Amino acid sequence: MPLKIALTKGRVEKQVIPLLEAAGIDCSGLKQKNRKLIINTSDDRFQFILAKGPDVTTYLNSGAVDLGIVGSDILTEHRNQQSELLDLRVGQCQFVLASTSDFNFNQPGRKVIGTKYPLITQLYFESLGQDVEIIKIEGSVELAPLIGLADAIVDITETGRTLRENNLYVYDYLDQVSTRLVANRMSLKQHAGEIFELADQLEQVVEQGSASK
Amino acid sequence: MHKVNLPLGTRDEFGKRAQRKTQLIDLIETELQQRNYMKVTTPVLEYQEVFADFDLKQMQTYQLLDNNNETVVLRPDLTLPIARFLSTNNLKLPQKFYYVGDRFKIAPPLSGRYNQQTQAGIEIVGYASAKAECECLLLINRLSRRLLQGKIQLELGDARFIDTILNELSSNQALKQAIKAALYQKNLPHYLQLISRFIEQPMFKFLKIWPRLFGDYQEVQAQVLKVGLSGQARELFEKIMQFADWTSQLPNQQVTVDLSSAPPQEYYTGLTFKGFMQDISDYLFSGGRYDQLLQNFQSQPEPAVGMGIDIDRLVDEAVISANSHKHDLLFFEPAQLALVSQICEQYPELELSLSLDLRHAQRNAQSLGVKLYRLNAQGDLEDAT
Repeated sequence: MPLKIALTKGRVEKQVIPLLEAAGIDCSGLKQKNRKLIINTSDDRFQFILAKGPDVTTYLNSGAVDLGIVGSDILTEHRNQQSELLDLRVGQCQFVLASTSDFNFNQPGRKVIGTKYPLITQLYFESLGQDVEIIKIEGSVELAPLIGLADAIVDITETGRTLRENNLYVYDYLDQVSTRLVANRMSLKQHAGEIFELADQLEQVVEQGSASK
Repeated sequence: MHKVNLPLGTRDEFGKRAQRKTQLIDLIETELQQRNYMKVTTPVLEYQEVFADFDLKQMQTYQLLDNNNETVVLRPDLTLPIARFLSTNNLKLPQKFYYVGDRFKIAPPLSGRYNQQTQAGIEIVGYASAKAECECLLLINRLSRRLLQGKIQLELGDARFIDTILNELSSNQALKQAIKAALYQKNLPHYLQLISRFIEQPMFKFLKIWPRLFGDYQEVQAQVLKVGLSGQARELFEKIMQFADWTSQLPNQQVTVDLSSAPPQEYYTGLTFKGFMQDISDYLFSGGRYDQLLQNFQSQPEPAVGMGIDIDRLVDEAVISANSHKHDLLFFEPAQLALVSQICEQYPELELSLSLDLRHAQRNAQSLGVKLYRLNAQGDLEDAT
């Protein structure tokens, strides 16, 4: 039976394939997948299941897959209870608190915050001792302060370009985000050897990548 | 129209699965009664204070107000109600108890998990000796062989092990809690970052491999011997290994250990054991020693060992054939009631045909592929198929 790996499709998938290849995993099927969602490696050691980030955590929690490759933003927001094995150090970005130039962080009163990440936002403001009203937004969070829906936003940013282009300013930096290798806790017990072998191979690749930077 | 959908996280049970569940519970109850366990049934509702020691961080409870405005909850756990029961009923100890019942924990919405789960379990109260743990391990092994073709792997640990090592390492409570949480979850990047401050300590070699110290007990033993352990942690480790060695001698029993796993609940104080199966994403058996539990309900502590069995999971995995036996039918008229009563006692497998007339009854029997009988003038059964 191959190890089942739920891989977040899109940007994470593109950034992780070179790491997997450097770790000696045949990714030709992944690279020429067309519309296929389940792809086995030629040696049948691994089966990749392409999914959206939040679904990777759902599959992991239910035990439908042994491993998941997903951003730490999603893991935190979904209160991950599975075993996080490795920081793959790709997809690196940063949670920020951002708003328009007239936003006053210390202004009295209950702020309204727009975000895709209500839990992370709540934990951040709780740590500051502030009670805020959170509005969940599914896409283009930057719009919220511009159209008067929220006083500020909590969102992830890689380069800050989208914020700048929309005249938004960073008022605080929260946690850093990167892509992680996560194992279902029972799969880890049942396939410890194979899972740690993969994690160790990837760790070596990640370390070499960091050293060469 | 009335609302017909179920509340989130609940389900109806019916047909073959419900029948298999009843058979499984009967089998476990018979097994326990034969070994002189006393059955205890506690109410589904308890005061919230009963569960003060229960870890509710991840799960929410169903809460209600009684007519005195006190909060009562649908029990999320079945051990704490037994502890409450023992503290108020003056039962002679030592004693072995068992229970079967439902517990209610609100899982994250839309996660596909059920909020009402059936659990069976045993509580062995008043026995301080390791023989109480042995009784639990023997029961898991018996049920594994009887119901699961001996496929259960046992995982042993000790609820005190992590605290013992962390207390030797640091007095910083927040740091110890953070390391413990990272270990429980096997969050390796965070754990390695937290322990990096102990790099100069002799124990660092152990700390570095600690989250990976799980699996086959002999392999773990070999790894620990390489890096070394001292003091009380070593004693606890040797005790776990001793149990692993004893248990591995049971028929069809694979034994693993996990030196960094979370105890099933905060109230555990000694050896812990869990049973799992290949390709099943949760534990089927889970238990251990909790000698301080009763002290929260009464002044006198009592040694206790207990274990829970996840009946819902077990139903899905156990090799039990649901009774699919076909029943022949008996056609009768209401005036023959007394006679029918005698026949039913004589032939308990016979199902009464409730069809309006013989023609309908014959058609029904034919579609079911069973025989149809009726009572003749002498009161005897005759074939009416």
